[in-house]
Amino acid sequence: MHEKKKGSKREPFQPLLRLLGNRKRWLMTSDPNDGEGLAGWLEASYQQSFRTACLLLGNRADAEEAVQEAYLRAWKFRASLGTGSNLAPWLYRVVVNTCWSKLRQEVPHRQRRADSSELDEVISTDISPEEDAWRAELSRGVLHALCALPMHLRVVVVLRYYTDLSEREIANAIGRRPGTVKSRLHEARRRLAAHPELRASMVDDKGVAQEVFR
Amino acid sequence: MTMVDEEALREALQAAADSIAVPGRAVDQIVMMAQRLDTHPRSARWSGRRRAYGLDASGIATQRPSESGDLDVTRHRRRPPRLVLVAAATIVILGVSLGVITTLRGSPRSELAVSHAPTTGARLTQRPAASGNSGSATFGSAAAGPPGASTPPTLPTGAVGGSSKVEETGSVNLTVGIGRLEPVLTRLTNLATAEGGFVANTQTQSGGGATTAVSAGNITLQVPEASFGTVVAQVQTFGKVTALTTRGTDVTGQYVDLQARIAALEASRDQYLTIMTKATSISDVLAVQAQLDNLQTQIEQLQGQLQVLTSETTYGTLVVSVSERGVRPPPVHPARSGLASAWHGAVSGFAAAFDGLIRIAGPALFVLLCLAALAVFGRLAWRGVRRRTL
Repeated sequence: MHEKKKGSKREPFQPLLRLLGNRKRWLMTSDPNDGEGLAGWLEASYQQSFRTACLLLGNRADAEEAVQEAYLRAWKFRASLGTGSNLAPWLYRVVVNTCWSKLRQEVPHRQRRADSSELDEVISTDISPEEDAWRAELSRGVLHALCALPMHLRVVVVLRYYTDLSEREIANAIGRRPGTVKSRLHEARRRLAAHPELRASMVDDKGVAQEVFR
Repeated sequence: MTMVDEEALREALQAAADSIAVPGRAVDQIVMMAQRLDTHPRSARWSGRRRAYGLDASGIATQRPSESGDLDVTRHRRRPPRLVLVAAATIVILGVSLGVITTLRGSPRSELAVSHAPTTGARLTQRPAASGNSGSATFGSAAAGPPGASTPPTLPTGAVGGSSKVEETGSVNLTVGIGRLEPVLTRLTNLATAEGGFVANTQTQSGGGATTAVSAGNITLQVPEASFGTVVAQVQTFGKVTALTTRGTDVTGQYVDLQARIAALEASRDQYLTIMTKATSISDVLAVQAQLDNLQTQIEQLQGQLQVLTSETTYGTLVVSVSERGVRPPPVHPARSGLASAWHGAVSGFAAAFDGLIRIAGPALFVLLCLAALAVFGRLAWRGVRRRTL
């Protein structure tokens, strides 16, 4: 009885499991204990999860550790995992929580914003300068602007505009109300507009957008 | 207000994410570690820390499992949260403070230690507060201080050559039932006699049968110093204690000083007596005699002081004020004119308001300190919670 109580206390995803309700489906495509099923699931979701962590942390090594840790958490609790159509928000919640824990525990408070050298290392060096030079420059600018945001704004921007979650799904992922998510998105877009490397993409009050990313 | 266009931001993020290269064998490593977690759930910490799992920067495992199959894991030690450290420090500070306060105020030994101070007495627990010109006394609540502090402590051996001399005084205000004044005074007298003391003074005031008058009396007991604490304790059982004051004054230094001065003067007197026997002329005899008279006077004065001091340290003085329960007589004011009455009322009101202000200043300060402490802890806790959530 003592072990049962201790185990339930260490369960970090209890609110999420209650949220998912009875829509149970195994996370794995086949047997959850099957390594091939896990591998298939990882193959399908790792790329986007890793890039999400990179955008959040601004550091490749930290992002790799965070995603690895998040997936091992998912593996550890796979037996009690309920899922359904909201599997993506759950996964991103685990990734976001892991990234946030990494920032909170391992990075000093004054150094939570990645420096320029780390951000430049995030961008792949395999991009050919002749063909995709504008993309590398744009990516560098986006990462710098993104990492200039505080973490609570960075998370909602990445989840909304990169992983394409809805505001309600983001609210479920970060444990906040949808109204909070909406106000944070508004604040994040306002701050990004003030960033010099993204000013070209700003729109004015008349809603005239400048298509600078195309 | 200018903001970034949503579609432009979406495309920019997508482009930036596309430029991030995904590690090639990371998935294989995660699957391998997951399977090892199933095999050895307790050996590897599932935090996914690369160093903990022995992975290099590219995600390739560089550390093989040991012969027992366990991964060689270096456990990461988390720093305790700041809030926990602050709470622990506060508890320690509060504990030390309470210990010091308890040591200084609760222990009879410490009271005696204070009573050895050369100037004033040690225990002063409660005193009545006189109120204005009404003539009636306003008594504070009873402070039942332990009377066991009356045992005279011994000085360190060789310090002054003997035990200390402590002058014990005290006063107790008792409230007894109606008609109980005389029996209580009788019991107090018997108590002093039984302990080897005596009654030094008695004063009673009868109510005279008036409904608003109250009978009261004062009795001064002289009890041996050794049984002073016992007497104080027993006196408190004779009625309801409304005020209790005990004081112990260390007069050892004064006592020793008197003895030394007497000894010196006596030595001088002996010298003059020797000179007197050798005097040959009348003028010499008269001069020596004058000096001897002067010395003798000083010796007798000092011996008198020593005798008084010995008496005071031999017997402790306890003044017991006994009053019967009842309605206190209204203060008798002389007939005043309207203007004088108004003036006195204004002065009394001002004094009462000032008195009340001072009385509430202490509790108010305490409440403010508590609120400030709560605010600090609440802010720390709130910041801690906010730091853990996005």
